[in-house]
Amino acid sequence: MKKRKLYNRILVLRSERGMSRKELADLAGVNFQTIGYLEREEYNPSLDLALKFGEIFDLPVEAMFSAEPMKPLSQEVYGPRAKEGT
Amino acid sequence: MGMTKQQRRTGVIVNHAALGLMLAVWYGGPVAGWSEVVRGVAALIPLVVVGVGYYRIHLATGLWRLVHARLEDLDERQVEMTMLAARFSYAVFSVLCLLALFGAAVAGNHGVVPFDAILPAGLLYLAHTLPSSYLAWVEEVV
Repeated sequence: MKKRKLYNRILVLRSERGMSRKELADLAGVNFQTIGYLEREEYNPSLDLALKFGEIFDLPVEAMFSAEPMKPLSQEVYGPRAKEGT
Repeated sequence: MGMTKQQRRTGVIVNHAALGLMLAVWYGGPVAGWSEVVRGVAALIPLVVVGVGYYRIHLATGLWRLVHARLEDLDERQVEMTMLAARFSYAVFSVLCLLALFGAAVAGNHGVVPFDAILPAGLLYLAHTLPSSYLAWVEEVV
C-alpha cells in the first residue's frame, strides 16, 4: 500500500510553545528523532499519536495534520487582510 | 561524532566488502598457493577493517542496540523501521545461506571439504549486522 504524504504543523506549534524536540517527544512518548521525521513530513503518525499531539497542543487533529499542503497558521486564524476602500 | 548518511552508506559498503574480501582471501589463498602464514596475515587485515566498521557503523551509532531492543521499548516509527530492516535482512540472509549450502554441496560432491568455521562465522556476523546496515543506509538521521 503506497503511503501518501501528509502535511502537519508540528514544527510551528512546538516553536510557538518554546518546546524542544526532546520535551515534545517525552510528552508524546516517542523518540526525539521521530519528532524530527514528523516535522520534516517524512513520517505519517498513527491515529493514536496524532490524537496525543491533539491533547498536548489542545487542538483538533485536522488543525495539525492534512493531506493537502497547509496554509500558514496566521492566515488560517486571521484570513487575508481586506484591502483599504473595498 | 555524527556521521552523515553518505558516510554511513560508505561505511556499510566498506564493512561488507571487507567481510567478503576476508572470506575470499581465506578460501582463495590455498587455491592461489599461499602459505598458511600469508593466508592468515592477508585475512587479518580485512578482518580488522570489519571490526572497525562494526564499531563505527553499528555500535557507535546506536543502530545495533536499536534493532536488538525489545518491542516495548520502541516507539511506533522505530517498530516500523526495525520491521522493515528485519524483512530486508531475512531476504538477503536466507539467499546467502542457501547459496553457501549449495556451494558446499557441490564442493562435497567433488571430494572437496566444503568449508570450515570461517564461513559460518562470517554469516553469523552478517546476520547480526544486516538489520543495522539497512537502517544505516536508509535513515536520514541517526
